[in-house]
Amino acid sequence: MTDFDPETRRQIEELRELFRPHLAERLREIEAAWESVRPGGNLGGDPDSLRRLHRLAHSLSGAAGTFGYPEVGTAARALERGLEPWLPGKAAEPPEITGVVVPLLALLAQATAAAA
Amino acid sequence: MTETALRRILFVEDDLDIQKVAKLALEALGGFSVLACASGFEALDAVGGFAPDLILLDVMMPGMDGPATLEALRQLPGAENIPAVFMTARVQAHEIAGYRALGAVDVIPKPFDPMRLSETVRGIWDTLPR
Repeated sequence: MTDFDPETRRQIEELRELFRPHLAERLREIEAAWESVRPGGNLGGDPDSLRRLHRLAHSLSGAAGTFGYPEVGTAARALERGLEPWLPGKAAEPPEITGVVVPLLALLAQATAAAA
Repeated sequence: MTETALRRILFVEDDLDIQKVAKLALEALGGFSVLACASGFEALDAVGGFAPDLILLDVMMPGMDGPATLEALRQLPGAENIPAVFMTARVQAHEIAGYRALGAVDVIPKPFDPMRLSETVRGIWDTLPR
């Protein structure tokens, strides 16, 4: 078979369409994870939730790009990178996380809505 | 250059959407036999029975990440020398050097084009020394 095999391309397109509703689901998961990370706008000493939020953003960035939604992938990557100064073990002592994450989440929501 | 044909690929990826599309692409376009595992732990259980020619490994996975999985695989009889390729979005030069230092033969950047994945994997395989 070649990489232009039409049947495989059709199946991949089908998977892409099946993935589309997952964008909104994944965004909801990310938003829920953010809610658990920011009691009162700070981390509240919950490194596991933060790690999970980071992992969800990372996962969406890879999946969205692979399935042909590059804007969502880029926005998710920005969120992933934006969270990194706060990950456990990092030396940085950045200012308020909310000021960084909320705008990135808004961009992600916008990109996801545009892709839906 | 390799003289042995690439037939069996163990694919370790926790994201089920990516797992599905990569498996389809590798099987349908590459003609490979692919066993997909959702975690490093699954891979450790499966590798002996499947006897892959090549292992494709996601880097960031919960529980046991790609590097830890590779390290554990290397302790298993028969899996010590199976070529491993990481799949990751972290592909800056120093990051790639780090993966190679861990024993990966190459790195496939994420996101990837499913229609090109088989070709990329075969290209890596063809460069491996025998």
